[in-house]
Amino acid sequence: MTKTTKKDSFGERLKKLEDLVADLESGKRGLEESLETFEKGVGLAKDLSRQLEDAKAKVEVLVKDQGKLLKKSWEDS
Amino acid sequence: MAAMAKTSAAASPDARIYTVSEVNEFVHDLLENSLPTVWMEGEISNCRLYPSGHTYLTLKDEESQIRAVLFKGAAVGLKFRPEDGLKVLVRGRVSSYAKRGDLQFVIAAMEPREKGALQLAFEQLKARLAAEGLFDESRKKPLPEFPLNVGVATSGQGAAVHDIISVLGRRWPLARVLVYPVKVQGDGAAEEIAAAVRDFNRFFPETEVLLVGRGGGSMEDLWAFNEEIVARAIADSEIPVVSCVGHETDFTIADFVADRRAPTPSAAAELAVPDWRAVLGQVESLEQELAASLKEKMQVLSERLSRAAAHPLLQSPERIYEELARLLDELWMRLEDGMTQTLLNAKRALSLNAAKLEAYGPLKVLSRGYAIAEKFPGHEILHRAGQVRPGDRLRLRLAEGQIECEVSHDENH
Repeated sequence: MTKTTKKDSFGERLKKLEDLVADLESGKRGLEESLETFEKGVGLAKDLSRQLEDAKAKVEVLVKDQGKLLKKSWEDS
Repeated sequence: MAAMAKTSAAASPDARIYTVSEVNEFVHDLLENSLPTVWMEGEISNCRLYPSGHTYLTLKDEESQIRAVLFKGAAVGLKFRPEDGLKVLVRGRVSSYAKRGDLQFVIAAMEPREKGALQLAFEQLKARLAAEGLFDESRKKPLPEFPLNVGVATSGQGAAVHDIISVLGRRWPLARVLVYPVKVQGDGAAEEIAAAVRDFNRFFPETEVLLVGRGGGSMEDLWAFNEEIVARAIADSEIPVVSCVGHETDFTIADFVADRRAPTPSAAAELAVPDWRAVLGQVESLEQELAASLKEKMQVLSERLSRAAAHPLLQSPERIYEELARLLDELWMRLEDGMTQTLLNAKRALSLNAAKLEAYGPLKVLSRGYAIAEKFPGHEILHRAGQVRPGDRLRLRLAEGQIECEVSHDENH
């Protein structure tokens, strides 16, 4: 199994970023908290951007072997 | 046979007597051996499928009818279901059911008269599954926005799988794609497709969206996707399914059951995943919003600060003294006003007293022509002549002015 059990999926982290933006936009936070939210959000945005830019799709194919399904790389098949 | 025809109601003693079974068998053999396989057209009625798998029915036209049977073995190849009212063309032979002596048409093949068998089968299954609610909008599962695990069940060869992989990789490189190669046409294709959908759910439940389909072809080529077994597997799938069978205009039962239908395999891939550039743009604009919000926050705060700093007191501290000075001035003025009033009051009182003084005082007497005589120097006021002697100097105070004079004569002496 690959790293499918990553804590937060891309979608969840993007949602978190949206929440941070909404929180900061509400203007309800003090300066200190606003700065904190800002830094957290920018860090998250950088992570997400990097993930998008660095990603390379992985393709596997299932091969039946004695009644069992095995994953093999698509290029090798 | 000739013997039978000559038999009269009263059987002659030498005539052969047949049993019922013998007659029925005789008829059966005669029919089986003398009539060729024929094509016959008729409308189905009294159609019943028995647990044995055989279907018994009546075929009729306007004037006449005949019992017929569709044995299990012949029914297997049938895509559609025989049903009452259906006009069909059957191939078979006339036979009889010896036990009952009934005439019976044994159907070897059947096809609908008014439309193609596949079309009819499609319509029948569609109507049946629709009645079950399998196509209901409320059953449709939403597709994930950012799937990281994408399953594909299609042929391992051909353009479809390559189209899907290339679109997925180009649009959403975050995806891990798992291809399950299946037979997509011919015998056993429907079973393989259905098994793949079930296996994804059972063995790869992390799959977030599942693409099921194949490239274009004839209705026969696409037929597996019209099979009930495939429809059921898709309907039972916990993983949202995007169907993509054939071209734009091809609709299969799988398309109706799937959570989303895409017109082609490439389109399915586009539907299943977002475009990473668009998502990157979204992330970047969120980042910009963060910066803009913080900037605005700072602006608000700095405006508040400068508004506070702009207060006259904070801007030039000497104002505090000015303010105080003004306050003092005011107090002073009010004090002065108060004092003036006091003075005025005093003045008024004074002039009143002065008038009284005038009325009763000596000056008033003097004004009537009297004078006050004083010895001079000194201020001894004279009441008697004896107080002075000739040669003393006197001062006379008149109403206006005074006179100094000398005593020259003293009448007392």
